Amino acid sequence: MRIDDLKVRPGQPVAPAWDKLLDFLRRFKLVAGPGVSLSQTPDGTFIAVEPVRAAFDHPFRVTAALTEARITKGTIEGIVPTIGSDPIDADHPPQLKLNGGPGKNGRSYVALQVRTTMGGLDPETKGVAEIVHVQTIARTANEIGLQPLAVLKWTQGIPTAFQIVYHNLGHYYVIQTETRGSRHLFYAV
Amino acid sequence: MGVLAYPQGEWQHPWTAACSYDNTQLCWTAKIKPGFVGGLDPSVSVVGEFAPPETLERLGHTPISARSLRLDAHLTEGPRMALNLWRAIGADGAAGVSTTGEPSYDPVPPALIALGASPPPTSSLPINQAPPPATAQDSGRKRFVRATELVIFQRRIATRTQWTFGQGIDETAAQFDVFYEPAGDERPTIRAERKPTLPPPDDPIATFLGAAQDTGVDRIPLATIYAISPPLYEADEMPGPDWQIHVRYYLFWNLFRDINVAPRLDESDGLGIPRGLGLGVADVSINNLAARINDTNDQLQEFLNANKAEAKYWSV
Repeated sequence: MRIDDLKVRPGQPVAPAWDKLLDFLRRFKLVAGPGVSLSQTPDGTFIAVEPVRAAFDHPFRVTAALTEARITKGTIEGIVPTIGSDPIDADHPPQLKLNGGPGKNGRSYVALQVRTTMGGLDPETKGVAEIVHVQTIARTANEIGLQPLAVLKWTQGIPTAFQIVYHNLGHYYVIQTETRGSRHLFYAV
Repeated sequence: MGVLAYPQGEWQHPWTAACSYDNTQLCWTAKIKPGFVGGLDPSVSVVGEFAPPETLERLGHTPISARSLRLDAHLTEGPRMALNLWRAIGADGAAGVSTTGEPSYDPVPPALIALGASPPPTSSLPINQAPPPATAQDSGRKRFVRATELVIFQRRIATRTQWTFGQGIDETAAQFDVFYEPAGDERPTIRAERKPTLPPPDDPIATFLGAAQDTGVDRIPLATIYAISPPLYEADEMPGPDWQIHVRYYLFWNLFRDINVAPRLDESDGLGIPRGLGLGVADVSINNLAARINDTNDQLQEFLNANKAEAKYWSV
């Protein structure tokens, strides 16, 4: 842009030159790419660059793309969960569709959903352990437990995964009593 | 404009604190890799003008409008936490008192002593004759050490106790009630403490008298951050940009928790003091009750334990 483009003579409208100036300034806006964060302060902008770190292929590692997520193999009580009807350790591992996008707070969860039978997990039961995408961690029935594996934070339609579970899991079902509802306790094994 | 590139390294566990000296805030700061408690990433309190853009956007602020505010930034927003509460340990550390009445000092980790840190003085003198803190002149080329504690706090349902005096409906003259207060915002917070502050031990009599109440806040130590000076530093200086940082972690994985009670919040559980114990309404005072309740201490302890809200945390 030439400086002369911004000059306005008496009687000429100011708005076109002003718009050109704004367009010019927008070209200098700092945009944070992957691994970069910006801290804008009244005294200036601070750019922090985080390097790509070595990967740790732990169980249940969630990697989110635009509309799908990949989950590495993990087990709960020795059972390999499924996505839909396909186990996550299949030769062609299934990917989880991130249907529904984020919840009202801009977050959603990749979660492990278990279904108990007589208080335990029966490997023969269909859908005993399934990985699902949910907007809130809320149980729909006593026998169903939900353990978030990762939080997805959505910015401009793009999810970023923050891992919660790093281990294979055990599960303990606490039955309902007169004073308390039932609970599903998930723990690292 | 400032640029900070964190050192390249291996995989980092949740709660890893990347410490750097902030030339704007003129102090060391910690950026903590997001960890989660019950699926929630804790918040840290930051000065508005240094808050991450995502925090400002969530709270509807701009760097200028937030300049004089303190804001709660979630860990997933990438805040840098200012570390301003340091204590001296080692050669110039303040002496405490041990149970035997002798001065006691915060231990210096062996790894820092191997780097040249000055260990605490060794003395069997009583506290009023403890040796004065070291100075740069008498420290030779030793290095001084400062420490600060990072602690996670999380609210939970709290146990409250209350006395009611009067003619009870079932021939009771005084009623001791336990009730529960809702937790409010359960999002954990991370705060820096100069020294570890341990909660006071349970005292059933104090609880019974209403002198001690459950704080309703759980405290989980996260890490101790040590700063070690270059050699020949003045003893009273706080960590500057040329100091080195070492972190000792107590937490490596994300956490979930369960609370032992889940009462209806509008109900209380009461321990009635019947007339049969001789507690007439007219002469009832709490101190009087306390003296008399000694005989039923076991019953009281059992009652309080059964109604006390406690959280247990485990990793996933």
